[in-house]
Amino acid sequence: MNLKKLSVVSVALAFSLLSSNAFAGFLKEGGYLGKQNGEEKVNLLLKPAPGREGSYFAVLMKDAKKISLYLVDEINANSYSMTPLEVTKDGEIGVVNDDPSLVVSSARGENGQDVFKIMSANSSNNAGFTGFFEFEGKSSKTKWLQIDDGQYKTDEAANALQISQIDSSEREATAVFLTAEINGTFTLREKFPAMYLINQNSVLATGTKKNQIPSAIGIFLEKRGAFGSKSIEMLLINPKNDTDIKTFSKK
Amino acid sequence: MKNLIVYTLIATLSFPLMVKSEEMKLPVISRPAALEEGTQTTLSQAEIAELLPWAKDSKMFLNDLVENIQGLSTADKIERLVDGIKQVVGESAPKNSELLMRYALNRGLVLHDLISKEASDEAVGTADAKIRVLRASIELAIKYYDTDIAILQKKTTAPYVIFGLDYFSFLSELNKSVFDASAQYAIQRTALEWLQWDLYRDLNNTAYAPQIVKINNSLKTFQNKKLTDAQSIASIRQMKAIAQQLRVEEVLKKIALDRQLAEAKSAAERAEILRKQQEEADRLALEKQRHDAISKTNDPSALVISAGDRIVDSRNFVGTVKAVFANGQLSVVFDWDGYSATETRDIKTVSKSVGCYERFCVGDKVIDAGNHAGTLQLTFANGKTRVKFDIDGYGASEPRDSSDLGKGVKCYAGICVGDRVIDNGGYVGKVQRVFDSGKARVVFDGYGASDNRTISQLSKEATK
Repeated sequence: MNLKKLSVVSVALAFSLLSSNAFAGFLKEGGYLGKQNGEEKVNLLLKPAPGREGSYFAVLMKDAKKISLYLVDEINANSYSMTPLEVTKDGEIGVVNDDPSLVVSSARGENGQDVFKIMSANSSNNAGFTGFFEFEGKSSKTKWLQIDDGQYKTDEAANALQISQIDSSEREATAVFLTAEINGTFTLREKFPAMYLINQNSVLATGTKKNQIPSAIGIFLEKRGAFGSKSIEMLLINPKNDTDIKTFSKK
Repeated sequence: MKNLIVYTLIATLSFPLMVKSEEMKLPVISRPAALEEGTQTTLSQAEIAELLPWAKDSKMFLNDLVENIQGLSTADKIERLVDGIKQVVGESAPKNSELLMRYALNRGLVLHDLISKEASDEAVGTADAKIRVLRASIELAIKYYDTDIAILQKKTTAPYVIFGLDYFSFLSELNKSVFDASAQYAIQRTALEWLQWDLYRDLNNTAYAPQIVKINNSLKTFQNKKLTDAQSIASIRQMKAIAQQLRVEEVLKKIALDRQLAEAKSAAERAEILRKQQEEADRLALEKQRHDAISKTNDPSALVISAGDRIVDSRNFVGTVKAVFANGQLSVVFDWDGYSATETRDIKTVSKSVGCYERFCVGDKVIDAGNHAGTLQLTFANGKTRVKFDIDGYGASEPRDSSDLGKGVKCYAGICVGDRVIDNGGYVGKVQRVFDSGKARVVFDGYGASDNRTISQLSKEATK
C-alpha cells in the first residue's frame, strides 16, 4: 500500500470512527445518587432510548416527593441536554417544549473519579426540576424496572392494586385500583421503555373503549434498603403536577 | 370565507423576512418527490362539481374512521387508518386535486411510510408514533374542510402560505415526540422541504423569496443519506435553528392575533384582546424570572421578600427590609458607613440575600477579575455579591458580580492546594489557594507574603 493510499485509508478510518460514535458520553445506563444543598437525596435513573444511540430516557427524583421524566441527548463528550417529557395535548407522553430545561456537565473529581452536575439550561423551558444537583460518582440504590405484575398495597389499603401480566404484543396490562382516590379498571400501556400511560377503561357491549385522557404516568422502581432488603414500588405521577405522586408497594 | 381573506391579507403583510424580497431571485423548486399534489391554481367548473361531494363525504368518513378504530389491536388500528386514508385519497378526482384536506391526508401517508422505513417496529413507541401521525393527519384534514369548501364555492385560490406555515408548525410539534433519531431527522427535513414547496407554489411567491432561498440553501446541507444517530441529532438541532430564523410560530401567533383584532366588533373589544395578550406576556416573564432565580439559588423563597430580609438595590447598596407594603413598596434601612438611613424602594428593583447563587455560597473563598482574593460575605438572588477582600486593615466589603468571580477549589488544571510550584519568572513557592477561574494564590519561598498568579503560568514540582 503506498503512502497516498494509506493516508486516504487513515482519514476514512478516522472519519468512520468519528461518525460511528461521535461522542463517547460519560453517562451510562443505571442509576446515580446525587446531592442537592449538600444532602444526598437526588436519584438520576437512565434507560437507553431505542433508535437513538447515546441518548437516554431519565427519571430524576428527589426524595420520591418530586419526579420528572426526561429525554437525555448528548451535546458533546462532556455534556448532555435534558428535555422534560410531559403529556401532550393529544394525551401522549412526549416533548411539549423542545428547549432542554437542564444540562448535565461532567468534570474530573478531586480523587480522579467522574463527577457531573445537573443545572439549569437557561432556556424557555420551565417544566420539571429547577435548581442544581451534584453527582460525585455514587450509585443509586434505586433501580428503574419494567412493569412488575402482582399485588400492591398502600398504607391505607392492603389490596390497593392488582396488575395483570403484560400482553407483550400490545405492551399493555390491566390494573385494578381499589383505593379511596382511584377506583376502577385501567389500562397500563408502555409508551416508551418502562414508562406507562394509564387510561381508564370503559367496557361497552361493542368492546373495550379507552378513555383518551391519561390519568397518570406510571413507573416501577426497586429500592434497596439496609442489609440488602429490596422493595418494589409502582409510582403514579400526575402528568399535570409532578409532586402529586401516589406510591404502591408490592406485597 | 371572511377568515380566508383575513388570513391571506395578514400573511402577505406580516412575514418578518419579507424585507428586500424583491431583490432576491426565486430558485426553481420542483415538487417534493413523495407528494402527489397538483400544481394547478384554479379548478374548472367540472372539477369543482366532482370535488364538492367528495369533500363532504370524506369528512364524514374520516370522523367515522377515527371513532371506529377504538378497541382494535395496535396493528389493526394502523392498518385500518392507512387503508381508510388511502380510500379517501384514491376516491378524489381529479387525481391531483388542489384540496388542502387531501394534502393533509396524503402527507400523513408519506409520514407513516417514513417512520416505517426509519424506525424499528420492535422499538417501544414506534407503533404509537404511527397511530399518532395518522390520527393527527385526519384531524388536520377535517380542520381544513371548511377552508376547502370556501375555496370551491367562491372559486378562490388556496391559501398555500397559511397552510404551509400551519402544516410546518403541526409537523414540527408532532416530531418533537418522535424519538427514533433517523426518523426524527427525516421528518424535520421533510417539514422544511414541504414548507418550501407550499411557499413556492403560492401565487404571491416572490414575496417569500427570502424564506424559500433560506430553506433551499439549508436543504443542500441536510442531505437524504444515512447518518449516525449522533449526526441526526446534531442536524435536527441545526434544522430547528433554521426554523427559528423563519419565525413560523411568531408569524402564526401574529396571524391569530390580527385575525382576532380584525373580527372584533368594537374598539373596546380590541383593547380587551390586547390587554389580555399583554397580561399573558407579563405572566410568562414573571414565571421565567421566578424559575431562573430558583434554578440558580436552590431556594424556593428566593423571590419572596419579607421584613427582616437583607437585600441589594439596583445601585448595589445593601440594607435590611423594615416593612413591605401592599403596593409593592419597601421601607429599607441601608448599611451606609457611619449612619443608617431608611429609604423607600420598589420591590421589583431589589434582590434578596440567599445562601448560594450558582456555585457560590456565603463563606466561599473567591478571587475577582482584578486578582484580589477574599471571602464571600453575601450572595443575592440576582447574582450580585459582597466580597470581604484579604487586605490588611481594610474591613469593608465591596460589591462584585458573581460572573466576575472565581471560586476556591482544591485543584484546577492539575495544580492543587499545597503543591510546590515555580512561576514563569523563576520564583518558587507553595500554592495556598486555587480558584476555578484559573488563578492561584502562591506563598513564595523567603518572601513570606502571598501573591496571585495565573495557573497556566505555573509549573508543578515533579514528584520523586
